Amino acid sequence: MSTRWLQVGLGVITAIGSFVEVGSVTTAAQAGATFGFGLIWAVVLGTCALVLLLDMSGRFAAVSKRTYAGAIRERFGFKFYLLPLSAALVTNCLLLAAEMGGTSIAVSLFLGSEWRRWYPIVALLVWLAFWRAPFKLIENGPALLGLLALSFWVGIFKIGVPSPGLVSTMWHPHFQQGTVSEYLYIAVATLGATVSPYLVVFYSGGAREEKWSRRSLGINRASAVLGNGFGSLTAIALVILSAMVLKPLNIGANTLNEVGLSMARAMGPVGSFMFAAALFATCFGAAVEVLLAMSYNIAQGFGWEWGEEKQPAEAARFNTVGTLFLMAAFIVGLLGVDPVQLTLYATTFTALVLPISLFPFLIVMNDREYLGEQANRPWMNVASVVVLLIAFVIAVVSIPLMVLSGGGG
Amino acid sequence: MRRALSVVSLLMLSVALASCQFSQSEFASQAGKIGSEFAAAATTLRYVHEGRLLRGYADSSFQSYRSMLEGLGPQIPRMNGAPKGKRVERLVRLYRRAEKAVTHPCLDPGCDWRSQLRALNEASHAFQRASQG
Amino acid sequence: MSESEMLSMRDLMDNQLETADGRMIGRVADVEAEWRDGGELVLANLVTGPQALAGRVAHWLEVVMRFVFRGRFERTIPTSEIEGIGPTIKLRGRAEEYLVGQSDRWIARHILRYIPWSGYW
Repeated sequence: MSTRWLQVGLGVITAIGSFVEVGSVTTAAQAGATFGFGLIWAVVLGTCALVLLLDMSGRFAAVSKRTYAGAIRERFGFKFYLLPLSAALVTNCLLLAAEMGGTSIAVSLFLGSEWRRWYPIVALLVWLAFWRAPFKLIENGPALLGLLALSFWVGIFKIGVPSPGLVSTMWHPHFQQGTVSEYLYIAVATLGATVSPYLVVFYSGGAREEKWSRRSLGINRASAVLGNGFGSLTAIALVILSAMVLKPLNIGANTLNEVGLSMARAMGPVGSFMFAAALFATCFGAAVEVLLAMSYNIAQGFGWEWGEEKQPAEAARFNTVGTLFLMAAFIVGLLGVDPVQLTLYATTFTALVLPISLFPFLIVMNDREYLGEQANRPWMNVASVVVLLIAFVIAVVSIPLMVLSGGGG
Repeated sequence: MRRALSVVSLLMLSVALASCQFSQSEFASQAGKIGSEFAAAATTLRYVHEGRLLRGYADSSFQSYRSMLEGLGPQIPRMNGAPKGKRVERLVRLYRRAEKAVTHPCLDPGCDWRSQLRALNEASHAFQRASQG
Repeated sequence: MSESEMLSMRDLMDNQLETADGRMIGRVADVEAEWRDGGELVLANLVTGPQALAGRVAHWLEVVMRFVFRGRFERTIPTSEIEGIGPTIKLRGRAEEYLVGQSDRWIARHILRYIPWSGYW
């Protein structure tokens, strides 16, 4: 009994500590710095969808005894499977490059030199973790360090109570002339950063690595709901902190360094240190998770031997394809796009293709042949489809606007 | 599938064409960005001298501000929607002074960081105002 | 034939191939049937390989793949090798007894052994 509670606790804690990463840091800070509390709803809405999807993903792995990508290929055929696979390849490639960029920036915040110098070293570290690190370490190590993100709340309490005018932006956002498109764009980026399809694949792969069974359903639900619920509070804290510190100074959070200034204001050097450490841990963890999720997706879809617990030579195709994918993302990161900009491309594109990425999974989740009585309840379908469609519609409206006005950020 | 794709892309195109009034001109968005970067540089400089930031953090920050601003200065007068005459000349002048502070920030106690701070703040305010039209 | 043994294409196509030693070696890309004397149509082989997969996507892609690979990576597994069909298709032999089952080993031997910590033995 006590080990079960320990597992629940660990699941919740790792979900809290790995909630933010380069996507949510960037979008939360830009949301707060530009629109005050006016985009907190997007974090909340995205988190609701994420909780539902991760609960489904764990339930699927525990009950069906199949793999995520395998089920999609079996259910829809090989030709259709290529569609969500291509969406994953593009979004994960951009996101992996952005996460590695974020990690490199975090290193440069400690050591001072330009982030590009650290980028190859970070990529090598990500590869090493992918190549050899045990699954438990990848899942829990960065997440435990990522709990430093809870210091964002300490920062808020150090600064004091937000003004009533700022609080009212939560339900009544202020627009300067011509910033409606920016508002929508950051809303989409926030949704795309929160509802991450890679997490769904990673989570179900992880559940299989840890040999979940029906007995794990309780742990699964607790860590999905509590972990991500509390985890989203770290992203919301960053919105609030940026709204209180950066917005009055007219700092738009166009670089990740600017984001940490709010923690420096609140807690001095310790604050900026905490921010850099949290940024490092969460981006690094997310980079390895994106890489693993992509490798899971391909290996499962093609029916190859896979698993982080196996030696690379035992699951040779799985490890080779992951290594090649990391190289591709590394090159994308070298093309010279700033990590914040790259993050916004990755998250908005993710939002745009959310229906392609996740509708097939939702259909599988309703298949009683796979899930028996654990298939989705109707409200779960309705709730997730509504959020995916909201993200998709705002993406269709806002992305062309931002392209025309010269890119977001 | 193909039909769905073409419907979506047609929708995106028509939204883009129909609603330009919801987004800013090139100048307005770039001026906002420049103003924001100068404000960030000013704050970073101030925090270093107030002891709120570590030196490495500040070094890395100024490097990223520089790369954000790279090549923007000379483009200002040519941007779509930029003001003309004296107003744009003043902006360019302020930009140059502030850019110097970003390129060679005075992070050590000995030098005159307060005048750099003034230049950065002045430029930041001017560009923020210009971006709001 | 009892009803529990009736299979549809969905139970075979794209399903996971698992060997007797528990290795995942690939998924069914196509099937081959034989028209035997006496008018019996019998499922003969399970097929894996890039050409078979390409044929599932578009005919022209299969032509391209055939030109590129010339059937080098196409593998067939006789249906007599099937031990049972459940969530995965269980095969009677071990991974090394099938050509498609040797792919991981081949990559390990020719590529991964030169990369540190690959666990190649």
